[in-house]
Amino acid sequence: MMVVRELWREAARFPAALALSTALLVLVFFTHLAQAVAIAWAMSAVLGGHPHDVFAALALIAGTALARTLLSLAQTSAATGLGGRVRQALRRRAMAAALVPERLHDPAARAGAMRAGLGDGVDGTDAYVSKYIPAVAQVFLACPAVVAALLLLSPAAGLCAAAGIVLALLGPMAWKRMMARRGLDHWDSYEALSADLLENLRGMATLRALGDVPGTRHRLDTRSEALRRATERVMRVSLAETAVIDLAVQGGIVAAAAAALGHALTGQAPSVETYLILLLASEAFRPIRDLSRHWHAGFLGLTAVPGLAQLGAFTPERATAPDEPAAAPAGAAPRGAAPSGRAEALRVSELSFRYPGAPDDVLRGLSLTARRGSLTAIVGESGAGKSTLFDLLLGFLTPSAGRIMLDGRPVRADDIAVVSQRPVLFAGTIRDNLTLAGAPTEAEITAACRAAGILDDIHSLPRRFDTEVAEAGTNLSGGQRQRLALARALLAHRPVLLVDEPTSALDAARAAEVVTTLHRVARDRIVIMITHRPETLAGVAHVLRLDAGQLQRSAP
Amino acid sequence: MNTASALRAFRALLPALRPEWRGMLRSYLVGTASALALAALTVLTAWAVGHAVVDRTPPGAAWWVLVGGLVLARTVLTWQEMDVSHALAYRVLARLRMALFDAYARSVPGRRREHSGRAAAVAMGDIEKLEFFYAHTVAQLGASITVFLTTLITASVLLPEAGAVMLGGSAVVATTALYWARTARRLGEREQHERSALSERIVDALGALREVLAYRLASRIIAETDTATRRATAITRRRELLAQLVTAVRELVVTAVVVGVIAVSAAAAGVLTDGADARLSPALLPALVALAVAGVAATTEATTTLTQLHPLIASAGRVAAGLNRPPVVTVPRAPRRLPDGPLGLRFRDVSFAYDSRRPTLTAWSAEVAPGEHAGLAGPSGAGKSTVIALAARLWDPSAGTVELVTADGAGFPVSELDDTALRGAVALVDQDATLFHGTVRDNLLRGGRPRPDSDLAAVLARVGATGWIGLDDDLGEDGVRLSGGQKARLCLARALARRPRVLLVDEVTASLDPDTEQAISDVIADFDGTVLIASHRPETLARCDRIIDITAPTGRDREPSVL
Repeated sequence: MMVVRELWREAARFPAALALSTALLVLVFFTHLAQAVAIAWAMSAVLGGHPHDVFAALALIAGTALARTLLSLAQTSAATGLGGRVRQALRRRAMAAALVPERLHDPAARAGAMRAGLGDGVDGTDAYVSKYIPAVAQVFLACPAVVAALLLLSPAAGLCAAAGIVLALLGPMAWKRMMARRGLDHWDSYEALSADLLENLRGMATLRALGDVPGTRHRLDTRSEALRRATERVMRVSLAETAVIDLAVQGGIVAAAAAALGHALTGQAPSVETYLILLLASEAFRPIRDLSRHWHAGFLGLTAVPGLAQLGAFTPERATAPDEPAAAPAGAAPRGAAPSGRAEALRVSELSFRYPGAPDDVLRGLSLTARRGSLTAIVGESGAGKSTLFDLLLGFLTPSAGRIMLDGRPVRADDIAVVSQRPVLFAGTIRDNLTLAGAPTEAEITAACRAAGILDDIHSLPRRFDTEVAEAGTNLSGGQRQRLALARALLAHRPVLLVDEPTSALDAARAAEVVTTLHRVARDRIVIMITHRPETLAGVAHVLRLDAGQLQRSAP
Repeated sequence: MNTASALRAFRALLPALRPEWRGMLRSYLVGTASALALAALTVLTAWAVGHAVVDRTPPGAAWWVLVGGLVLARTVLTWQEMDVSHALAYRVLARLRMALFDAYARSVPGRRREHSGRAAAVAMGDIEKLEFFYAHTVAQLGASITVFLTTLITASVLLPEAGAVMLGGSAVVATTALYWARTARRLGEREQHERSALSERIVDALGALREVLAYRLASRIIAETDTATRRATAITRRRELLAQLVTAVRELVVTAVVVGVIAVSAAAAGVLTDGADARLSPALLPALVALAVAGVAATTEATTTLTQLHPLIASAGRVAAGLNRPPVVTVPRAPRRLPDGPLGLRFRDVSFAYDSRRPTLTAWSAEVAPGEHAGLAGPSGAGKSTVIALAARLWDPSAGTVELVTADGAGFPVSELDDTALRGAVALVDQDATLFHGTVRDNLLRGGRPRPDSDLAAVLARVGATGWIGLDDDLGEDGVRLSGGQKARLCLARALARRPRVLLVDEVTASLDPDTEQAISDVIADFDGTVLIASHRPETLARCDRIIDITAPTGRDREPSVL
């Protein structure tokens, strides 16, 4: 018997479902007992030559079998319900812990490994929660009852069965520590391979262009072999446990049968008791066999538990979801913020920031003011801290010093709409992607797309707004992605718009269109644009140059 | 999906077992021995009890030795059987994983771009699921059939009616493999579909974290995954209920066999009818019941195995489909080597279309002389990236040829070249180039020949990647901490470190600040070899010897000054 505390705790959060599936399981077990009694009765009736008893016993056997059918269906339903609720809770918590700003700048966070944990890892706990936990409860409720019955019939048989049960339960404990260690090894290599495979499939075009397919194949093969060896090791230990349980079960049954033999030979009792001892001794181990079977089905899933703990799946939920305060229903938030839909000035004062572990500040004592009415542009070298400044404005990073104020109050994340340098689109239709931050009307969507210069492109697509966007928008060109993201930002109706390199992937004509759009948008809201294209700076009144973390000059 | 196509899906997976026939045989032998030991154990025990009750005689010493030996043998055999069959399955799965990688290497990027999260889910999830098929199917079915036949013959010898009841019961049990099979398969498919959709959603949410946070979408995404999990649970519940129903039907049949065996034994023992001849000693009754149960249990086990395959059919089908993805380039039958010396590029009447779109290129021709630096101009979406991808042989054109041209004008179609030779001669830097996790050195050396650190450091210095990064620095997945300009410099360094003869560049200067763009343009201008650079930036194009306008009627070039 293996106790995984975290999962027991999770199951215990749903006491009714847990109690129901356990109670039904025990009832199913009692139908097996009733059947054993009926068979013993039938066999002794044959021996004693009582035809009426034979028929009555056979009818009883059939009746209990039918009752068991119904009970086992109800039990299955209850058990899957329990497993599903636990999975839901785990995934909710792990997702909430994964979708936080800290993950943005965490080089150790790999999408493939996270996906494996949040998807397969959570699903892997199901067999343990829905099958194994009720089976453990069954062992503790049902086995003592059968052993007690056996003790009444024949103390020797009862003791043999009890010894076998105890051995089957405690024997595997010796393996527990080794299991835990090997399980961790296994999950590590599974995660490593999962992450590698995802990365390489994503970068397959690059791999092929580099001619590195054979090299990567070799590396993956090494990983895959490592996974195979690790899986084999986990399996071997787990199977040794199965063998120990089997030994205890068979040994216990044979010993109890020997006791039954003694019972029969000493001739104290009618034969029904002897048959009953034989059958009950076998039934006493049914819960143990169930346990062993469910363990085998669930043990690989358990190797994900340490990984899930790291993802925060077992950490109780925060009082509020990460983005609760402003966006109760996320869709309504931008409209709810309509009174603040217009703001005059965004003021940054004495802002400093340093990445943990980095030797130098990325930004040092930076101050700037961006106003509504005209475009503000920030230019600077690659790596000068422009993207970091955006992440600070958005609140994804916490400054080590300084303040960011919007019209005299601290800026909130929902004041700001953003178009990233590499905008990411979701799988779903183009419409889904545009309406992420609200429920705009058809006219608003069309207007925003026209303003962002993407409307013609959408109309040329086979299904227009209902065209599916593949993962990360890779079936659209870089320029189309950027203009879609701009349309999405316009539809968010927020007082501040941050635009990172809006024209980087556009040809001169389209770039000019987008800049015109931004100038128009800047009449109604504060627009800050990172750029270094001289032509996009034409007509921008307010150009700030960021150099090595400091604002060098502010040129008209 | 009907039973025939389900069988086809599984048959496609069988070739992976062929190299394992020895293991299969061993698995069958050990499994049969283990199951027979268990059957013998229960029958011998029941036999001894029956005789003790009726004849009041204890079993002899031989019985004790036999039973004790069987208990130990059964323990060892159980462990052995599982060990052999699982090790075999894991070997097959490892082989399948690599076969899938090979299939993707031939077929990605597809002309219709697909979801890499789904691809990864197929590769990992579906293959792991097939463990059951490989570990618990073929040899185990054989072992079950052997056990059934052995017990059937023994029971028939003892009491032919009992044998008949067993045979009838087993036949009914076997038919349960087909009950609700279609529904079970459909539920299995839907469950898998829900899982991959969920996986897709998670990959997207993690990839788009900045937008998710900016628009406060976390709670909406969490709520959506919550709903998806609930939906998946509902399907799981229905699938499990169906499986439980079939199991219950089977148990009812087993019970009926027990009832039948007791009834025919009672009749044979002369209990039910007065004055009939007793053909069977009541002492044998427990042994006969044990035998019948062991025999029908073997059939039940085999049938359960078959039933558990239903939900796997979807996985089997997807893995089979993944192994048979259509390749995007053909492998030349007799790969040609490339001569030394400078190489140019020639496009002859090249046509290309992405799936279900209008053709991007139609009978398009152009030529870049060896050593020439050519620019490729044209509006967004006109096919500049497609031309570069065809030159890098990520795809083959639907018509026409792309050739590397030597100084004396001899053409070598890229589709006929040895891949290593092609990749050694042509390097690609594009807007979506991936930097892989690992050190800078690992990335620079990927796919190339080993180079001393001094060479690599020189390449880094050439692209201006000094000061902010070193060869031993870890990049993290896709260079998370690097800016666009830094990534572009490293991708260019990676291309240069291979010392290519033809350098293909697609829009890399697009998102760079003027200083970086200047630096990168300088490095490309100094590159001693052929260059084809797709760009819409006049500054970048201005540095080329010649500009090819992709929209112009074939063959008409523009001078840089025209722009």
